[in-house]
Amino acid sequence: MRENNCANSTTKNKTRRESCLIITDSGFETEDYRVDFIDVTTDIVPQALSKLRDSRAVRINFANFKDGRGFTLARLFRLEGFKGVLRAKGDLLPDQYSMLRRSGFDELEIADMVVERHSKAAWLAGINWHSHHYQKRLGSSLIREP
Amino acid sequence: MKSDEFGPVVVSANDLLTGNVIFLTEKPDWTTNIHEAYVINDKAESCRWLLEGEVQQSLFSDNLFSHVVDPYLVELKIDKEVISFCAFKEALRYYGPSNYFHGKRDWEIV
Amino acid sequence: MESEIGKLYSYSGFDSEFIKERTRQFREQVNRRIKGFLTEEEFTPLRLLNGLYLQTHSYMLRVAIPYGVLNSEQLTQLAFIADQWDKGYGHFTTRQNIQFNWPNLVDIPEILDSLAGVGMHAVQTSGNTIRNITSDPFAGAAVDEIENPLPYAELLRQWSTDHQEFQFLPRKFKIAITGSLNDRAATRFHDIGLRIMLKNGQLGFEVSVGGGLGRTPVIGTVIREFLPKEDFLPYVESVISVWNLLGRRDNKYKARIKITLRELGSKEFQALVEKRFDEIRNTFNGADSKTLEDIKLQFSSVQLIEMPLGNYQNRHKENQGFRNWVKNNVTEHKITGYTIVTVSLKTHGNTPGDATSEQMRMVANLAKQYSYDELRISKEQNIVLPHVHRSALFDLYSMLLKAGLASANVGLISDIVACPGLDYCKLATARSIPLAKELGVRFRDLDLEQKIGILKIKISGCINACGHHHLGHIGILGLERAGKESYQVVLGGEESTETSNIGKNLGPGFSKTEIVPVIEKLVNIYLALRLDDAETFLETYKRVGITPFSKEIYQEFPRRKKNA
Repeated sequence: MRENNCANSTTKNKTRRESCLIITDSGFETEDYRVDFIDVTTDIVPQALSKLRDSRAVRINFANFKDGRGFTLARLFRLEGFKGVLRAKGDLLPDQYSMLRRSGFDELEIADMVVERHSKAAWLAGINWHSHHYQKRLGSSLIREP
Repeated sequence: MKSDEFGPVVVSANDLLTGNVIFLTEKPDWTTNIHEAYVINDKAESCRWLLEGEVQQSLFSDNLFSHVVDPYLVELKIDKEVISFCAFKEALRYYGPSNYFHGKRDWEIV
Repeated sequence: MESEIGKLYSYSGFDSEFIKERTRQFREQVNRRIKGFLTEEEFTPLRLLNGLYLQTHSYMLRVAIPYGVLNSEQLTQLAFIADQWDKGYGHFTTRQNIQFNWPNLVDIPEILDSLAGVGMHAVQTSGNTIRNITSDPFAGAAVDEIENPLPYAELLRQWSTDHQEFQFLPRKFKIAITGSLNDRAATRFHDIGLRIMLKNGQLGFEVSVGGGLGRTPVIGTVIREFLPKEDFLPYVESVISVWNLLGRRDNKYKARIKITLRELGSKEFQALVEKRFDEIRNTFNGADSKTLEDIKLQFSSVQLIEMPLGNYQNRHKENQGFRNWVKNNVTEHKITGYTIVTVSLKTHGNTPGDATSEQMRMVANLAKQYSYDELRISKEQNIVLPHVHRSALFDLYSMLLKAGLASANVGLISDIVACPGLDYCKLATARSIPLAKELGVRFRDLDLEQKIGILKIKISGCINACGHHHLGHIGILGLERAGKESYQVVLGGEESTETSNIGKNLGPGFSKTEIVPVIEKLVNIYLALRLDDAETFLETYKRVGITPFSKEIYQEFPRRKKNA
């Protein structure tokens, strides 16, 4: 509907420092590189993901914050018996942290610039992800309580 | 838009707080009155002003300019200083719904 | 004799706490947006998940009326919201919700607080998630009901609310459920349609997938003939789980599950669902069945008292207006002596589905007095009082008459379904409401309505088909041609248990000034063609086909080639 004939009229800033923060239930950490993550994208089919079930650490890369596939992938992966560290990576919103945790992720890796932009308080609000949870109440959840 | 002629156009958007239809003025500021809008007759200039609107949308501050959503160009017809909209849809957007008289604008159902 | 009916679900402490927390979160999100921490692109999906649109002139808040059920206190509160933050009215939608057209962004958290006060919310009435569950407006009262679907609908509501996997789906997802033989919920036109079935004395569901209207109207495919009721939730979850990974995210017009089903083939899709179902079924530990039992108890039962008919028969004999109203707006109830009353929100010349705050309060009081405090919103945009004793009908009718709500036109040509259209909606390409208003007035003036009989007109203001035009006996689709409104006509759409049909295009479109005369002409063609007074428009259409209609119409309204 609202197509403009002007080229390059968007003002999004695409350059960004690569430095990232890890968000967990205990707050913010900088990357410690203690474990090597196996990287997959949200395009991966569940069968291919399940082959990684005995790995120590897997990182699922979200294309963007509207890419909801990662949540279902995490749930299925935990269902397959994956016991290692499951990390999400991508420009997600603070409001999605609880969805990550409830789906079976342990933590989120995200550019520190994005963390700052949303304000740290917004991120910390998500740490209370286990309360007010309908699905847990209905038994349709595999979530490990902290 | 035909390629050889351009405009007149104005930059329009919605106000973040009220949702109101707003237009970019020459200042630049935003107004709800089409008669105060800055009318553009040149393509390059329209791109510059649209960019201005978009920059204002993405500003992160408490100033009023950041309270702008989804700016785009609206085509007008201007005949002896009487302004009308090329598309019926834009006229309705400006004057308000036709099923009730909400008193927002002077609008008679066509 | 006393008979029991199911009563309304009332919020548990858990529900109330959830809604409070959710409103607190949204208040924060609004603050973050205003202060610039969230961009509009980021804020949009968050506000949509809370029912908030930015429309043409203003924000619009869509409030959930879960499965279309509410009580008088809730309707009274909606009236309060209409007065306080809107312009004194609300618009009931084809998805059994209500929309407020004029709130400001900063007012929304307060509106949500006042909804929470009466156990209501706007959660998931929009966004790419599982939307408000819809159901039969006659549930719990219908003569042809196998089992009341509402406890299952409430279970679905709880399960889908804030579901961690399904808040960012490829596209929106709609579920409808019915417990009756006669499908009044159009289940075959939903992403998942659930019909309660009895098989060898066992209760279960027939599951259809991939139905829908929009730009690609499709009748749903049955992928499970009989699903035992215990497997209900894991199976629904499996369908959405499979689609969440496979649904297209590159093109929003191809993202709905109906396209996934078409591209993959329904057999293949079904196989994937069954496999996923095997995987996740055991993770449901029975808590869902237990919750269902709790919900059934929460729908605490009420005793309908047997009463004499009073003056009903005399009034019915004497008063023709009352007789007409009973004929068209009153339906048999499963309990003898009781009836289901449909209050028409289609007063000729008014906006379909709109009710003023005064009307809402009035109907709320009537529900309290005459219908065991229960109300329903139908997808035809009317209000239903599901449990009214026949002896109270005349008093009820008299009160409705005073409020201007006694139009005896349910199912008739002026009972028009219409989306908000270009008057309010950002997606629309033409107006729907003025057409509905003009058609209502036109057929009232012609005094033909009762003679024409059952004829459903449905109007959508764009191809997204919120006005269900594909399902109208006469459907009208508003489009834009060269900056002006243009209307296409489709004929023969219907939704019922045995036969579902998507309307067929009559031919090239008509201008705003032509469309009302075109519809009048179509009706006259039908009246001339019908075998007798009992043959409905749809029956005549099915007997003679589209050609006699199109031939005469385009003779009288010839199209210039350019327009075709």
